[in-house]
Amino acid sequence: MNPNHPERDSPETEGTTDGTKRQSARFALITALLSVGLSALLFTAVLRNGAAWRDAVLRLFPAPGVESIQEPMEDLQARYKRMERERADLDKKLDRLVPKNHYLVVNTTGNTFRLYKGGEMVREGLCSTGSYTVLKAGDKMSWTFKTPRGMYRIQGKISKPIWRKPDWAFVEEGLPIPPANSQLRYEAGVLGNYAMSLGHGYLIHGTLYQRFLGMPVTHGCVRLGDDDLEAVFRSMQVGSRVFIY
Amino acid sequence: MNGFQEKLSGIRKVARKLPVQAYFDWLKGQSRIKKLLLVALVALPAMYLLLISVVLPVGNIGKIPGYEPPATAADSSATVYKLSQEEKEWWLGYLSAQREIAIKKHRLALAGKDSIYLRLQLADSTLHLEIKGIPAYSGKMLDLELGAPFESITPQLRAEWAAAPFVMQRRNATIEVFPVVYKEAPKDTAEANALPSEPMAPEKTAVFFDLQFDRGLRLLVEQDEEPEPGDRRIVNAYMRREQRAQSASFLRAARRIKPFLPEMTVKFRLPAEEARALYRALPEQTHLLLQY
Repeated sequence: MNPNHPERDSPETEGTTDGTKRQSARFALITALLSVGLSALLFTAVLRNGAAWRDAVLRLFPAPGVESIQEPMEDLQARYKRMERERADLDKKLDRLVPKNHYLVVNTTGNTFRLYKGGEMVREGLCSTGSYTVLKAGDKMSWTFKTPRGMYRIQGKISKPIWRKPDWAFVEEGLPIPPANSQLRYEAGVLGNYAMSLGHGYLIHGTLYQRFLGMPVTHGCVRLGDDDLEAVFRSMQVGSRVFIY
Repeated sequence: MNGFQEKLSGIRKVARKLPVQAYFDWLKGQSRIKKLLLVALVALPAMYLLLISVVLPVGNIGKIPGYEPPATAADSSATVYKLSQEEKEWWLGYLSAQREIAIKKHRLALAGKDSIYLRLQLADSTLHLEIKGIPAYSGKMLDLELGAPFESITPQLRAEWAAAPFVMQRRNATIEVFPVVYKEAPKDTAEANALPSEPMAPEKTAVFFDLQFDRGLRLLVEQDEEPEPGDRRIVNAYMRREQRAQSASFLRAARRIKPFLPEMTVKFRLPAEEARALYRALPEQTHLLLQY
């Protein structure tokens, strides 16, 4: 034992030193973990709010005003006169896009329609459009019942229409599909008093299920209530435009 | 023993111990380094992100992400004409007329195609969905908010940026574009008769959507009504997707040491049914015309 440094060789103090070392290592580890945690928190805070802070700071810097230009004012003024004529010309062209007679706008999500004449709405109401049902018959046959979007024209107008049932109408009822010329395909009275063709088999017609108006229940056609159908039928001519969105 | 020798013998003693233990023993005595290390560990990553998100964007103020102005606009060699106050006003009117003409030309061009496109008029907060140039839907944008860069870019840059139609690149929403329902055909009439005859109730899910266009334009639309409690999960999932996308682009900027520039954001509210109809009407390659 060294009398000058008794504590160094004492087993008790050796244990105490070890304990102190362990404790100091623990503290260091805790400090490191806390630092990493705190760092992660700060990092996440900046990551989440960085954009908002940036925008708040950017708002403090309004755009500099226009002080100078790279063209003489006389040139610009002359060009401005030409631009005024061009603007008037464009306005006329845009005005000509709006049909002067009746046109129909159908909202397939809200299942509503609006009838316009020369840009002014003259009638609005409920309709029914495609249900977005995909009917699957085995692996080979499937039909999607949706109303197409875009601009269409009335291709034809029919009073007292007779429905020529397509294949899906039989598949949906669990019936065998009859031949193309079969009498079973024809059914009167189900399309209401009038029908207007949009092409590709899509029609605007009436319905026996008036209580479903305003709901997406059709196989792609646009169904209207009796009174609305009559008003639309009388207003729209062959060639009139139908806008569906 | 002088001070230097004492230090040297201390280091030798430390070096003989286990490396980790030795490191901590050494660190114990280095209070200044400990502090520095702590500061670095805690604050440096966050400070770096702050640099990317705030300092660099402020340094790059007046730029729009994803948009390079035409070279002529930055021609420093051209003759410069100073404007009087009156001329400044006139010049802004000129820019506005120029922009209006450009938008009208694009409306006509889009109307020539079979396209459904959006037209936003920021001046009167109206929104128009046009088919072949005819407004099929017009609505009022409620609580319209424009992102910070709208205020920090020059009128000329804004006019050039907004002169052509924007094309939609991505969308994120709480609702599907096509609410498709799959149905197996019945095997016979008995099975067909057993199917429910009443249609499904119209969908009422809360409508929130984010449309991202080229040239850094972003449209954020929220339904005006408070979402139903049952829709909270869907709305939260949408918000999380938004936050994730935002964080990802932030980290991308941080990795490349590039400024996290703000997008030109237009945010507004619409009645739920109008927002739903609008979102579902938009085709994949929607064009948007921005008027202000």
